[in-house]
Amino acid sequence: MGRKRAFAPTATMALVLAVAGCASGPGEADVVAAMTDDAIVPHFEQAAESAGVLSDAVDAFCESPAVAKQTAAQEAWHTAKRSWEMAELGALHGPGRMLRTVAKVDYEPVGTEGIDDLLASDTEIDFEYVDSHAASTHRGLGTVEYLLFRDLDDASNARTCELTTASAEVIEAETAAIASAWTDSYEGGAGYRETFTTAMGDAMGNIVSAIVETLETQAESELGRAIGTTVAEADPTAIPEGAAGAGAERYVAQLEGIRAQLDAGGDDSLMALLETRSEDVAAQIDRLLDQAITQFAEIDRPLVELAREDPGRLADVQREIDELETLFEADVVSALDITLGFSDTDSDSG
Amino acid sequence: MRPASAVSRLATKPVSAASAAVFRIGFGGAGALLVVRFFAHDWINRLYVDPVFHFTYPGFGWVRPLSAPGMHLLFAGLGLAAVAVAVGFRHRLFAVVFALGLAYLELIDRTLYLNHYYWMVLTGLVIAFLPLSNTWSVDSRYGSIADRGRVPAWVVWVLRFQVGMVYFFAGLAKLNTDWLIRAEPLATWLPARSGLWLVGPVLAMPVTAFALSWVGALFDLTIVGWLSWRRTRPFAYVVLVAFHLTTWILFPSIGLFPLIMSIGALVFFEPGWPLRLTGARFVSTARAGRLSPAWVTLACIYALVMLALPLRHHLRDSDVAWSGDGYLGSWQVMLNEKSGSAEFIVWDADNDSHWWTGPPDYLTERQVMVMATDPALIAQTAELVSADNGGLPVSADVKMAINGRPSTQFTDPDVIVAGGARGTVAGRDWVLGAPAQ
Repeated sequence: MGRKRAFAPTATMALVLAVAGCASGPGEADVVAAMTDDAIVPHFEQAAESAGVLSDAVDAFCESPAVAKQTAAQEAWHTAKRSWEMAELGALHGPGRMLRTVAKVDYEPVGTEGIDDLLASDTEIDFEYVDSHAASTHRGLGTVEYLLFRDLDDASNARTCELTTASAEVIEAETAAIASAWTDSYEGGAGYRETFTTAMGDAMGNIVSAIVETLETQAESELGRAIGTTVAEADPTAIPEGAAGAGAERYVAQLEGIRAQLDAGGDDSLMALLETRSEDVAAQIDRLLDQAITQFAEIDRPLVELAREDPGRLADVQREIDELETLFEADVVSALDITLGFSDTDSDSG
Repeated sequence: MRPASAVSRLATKPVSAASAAVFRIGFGGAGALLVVRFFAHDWINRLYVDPVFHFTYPGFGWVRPLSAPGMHLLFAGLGLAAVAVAVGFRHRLFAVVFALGLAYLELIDRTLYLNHYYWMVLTGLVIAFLPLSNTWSVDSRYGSIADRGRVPAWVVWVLRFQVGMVYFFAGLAKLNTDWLIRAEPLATWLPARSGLWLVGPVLAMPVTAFALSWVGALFDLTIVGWLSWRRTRPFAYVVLVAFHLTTWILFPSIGLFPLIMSIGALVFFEPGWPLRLTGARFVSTARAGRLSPAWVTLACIYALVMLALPLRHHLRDSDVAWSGDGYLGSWQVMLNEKSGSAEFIVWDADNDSHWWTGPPDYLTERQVMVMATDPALIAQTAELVSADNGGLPVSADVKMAINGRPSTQFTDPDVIVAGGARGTVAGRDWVLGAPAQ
């Protein structure tokens, strides 16, 4: 009799768990963990490694200037820039905000006049100066680009080299610091990964907020301004692009960074989760991301130049990014039931 | 005996003041907790002090926040007023102070509207007219209260009405296709809680959303009946507490609502129920009094307004869930999941050009999120964009996703909302129709 009594609740519980096990789609905890371990952290580690290579290449060039070494340093800059652009998404929340990583690694736009003034001054330029005293507009990848992509003599000038070398070292240190903050230790405790992967709702909100912020900047503040769809008068220089002419390359890397975060984890990815919530939205994101990346990849000249001479070519891709932003801001937020803007206030909604 | 006389006798029959006192204590306690949460979460700064701009209600554009110290002092004052209500020290005066203070806070920024804050404002004003300090209060112990320990039955009736209307209208609002047939927004919200221990996977199942949608609608529509029937009352209350506890665990962002309703619903028990807990009994030799016609008229007007307000959207040809027209004061609690993406188009006819721009940077992210789903707020933002662009005409290009549907165009980007030809704003003909069900 006792066994029979015990059977009913046990069977019910087993049935519930069995049916629950059949519930489709990855759990949000799995998604956040996969995104952290397969995209955010590896991207920071890759950025730190690339920054190290850049720093070494700049050192080698400044120690014995030669065209080949300058070219090698320039190539290292392209790699470091691509790596950082892919990783930057993860710096828009968590330790990146506290450490002000974006401002130290790749602040845009670069203050070229200020850099020229600094080089002409008597200020001692070293790691300590760039790390602690230089303005955000006078350091980072943009500054290295400004100093490295010029004539051999100008680029290898002693003062120029001082700033290039110190800037590259700071980039290396800052990218290593953010990677370490995620994995090793943050604010005296464990790495931020632990906090992030256990704060489900906040983590998803932060991820989507960062994606929306990135797409909004691209569509509205940069491309839209450059071709005049978001301001009264077109301003091609609104696209952050320096002497390397790597504007298109930058957008490709940023969009691939988004793509990598969405796809990280395969069956446990955010994209897989979105497919279970709204197949149509997932398919649209997939299509628009592919289109935008392809279109930018096909551009083989500086974007500022293209915005001046053929703005129509950029209008399509700007519209696609704008549509992507809308999808994330309206559909993804709704499908995942998340709150943008890091809000913890009460509401009348779930 | 004429029916009116019978009702009058029943209404004025003396009953124990204990349950009314519990209501007063619960209301004051919830008010104090509300204030504590604002301090603890730094919401005073983040919601009132920091924002550069506040969205206003029609006719209340003059309501502005105080300085940072002023706002903090106000909240502290509200906390003290709530405590005064709870302990029954001049509760009528302090209920008014609390209600008006909370109303002021609500009026400062329309994006801060919450159903339960609205309920607390109304209830604060209502209890200022009720003798809720006749027992278990500072005033009954030290003051000059004549009717110690008892109140006329109508006092309890009014409190029951105040609690019951929320459930009834919340249930009525759930009788729609999205809630009952598509199980939305629960089908969107519950899978997002799939990480919860043990129950998480069950929440992710579509059948759970359907089951809870129907259970939720039935609960809201019938709970007042079950609570009013003596036989089912204890069970109904256990279910009520379990229901609110569940909603609080699943949706912590609804804040104090579950607590307020769980305490408020106690008023459906016999008026003397708290006495039983202390082993005492209510005995009164007082006789039924007479109802004042003036008070009866006032109560009837209040009840009619409260019953009509939530239904006003039926007189309009727009869908309240989509357009938000008639949403305020309609007890549409936890009913819709909406997210919008708002851009604005500035039209420069002189230069034959137009351009898109986002909401002004000085709006907070929270304000932008709420704004993008509410035409009244979109119109105010369009005014800001127009002002920021030298008064040029501005239209709104907003897309909105509602209850699990793909985002669709919410506003007509070709109709001017602010600046220039402004006649269109009043008609709201720039708000497009809801997507097909």
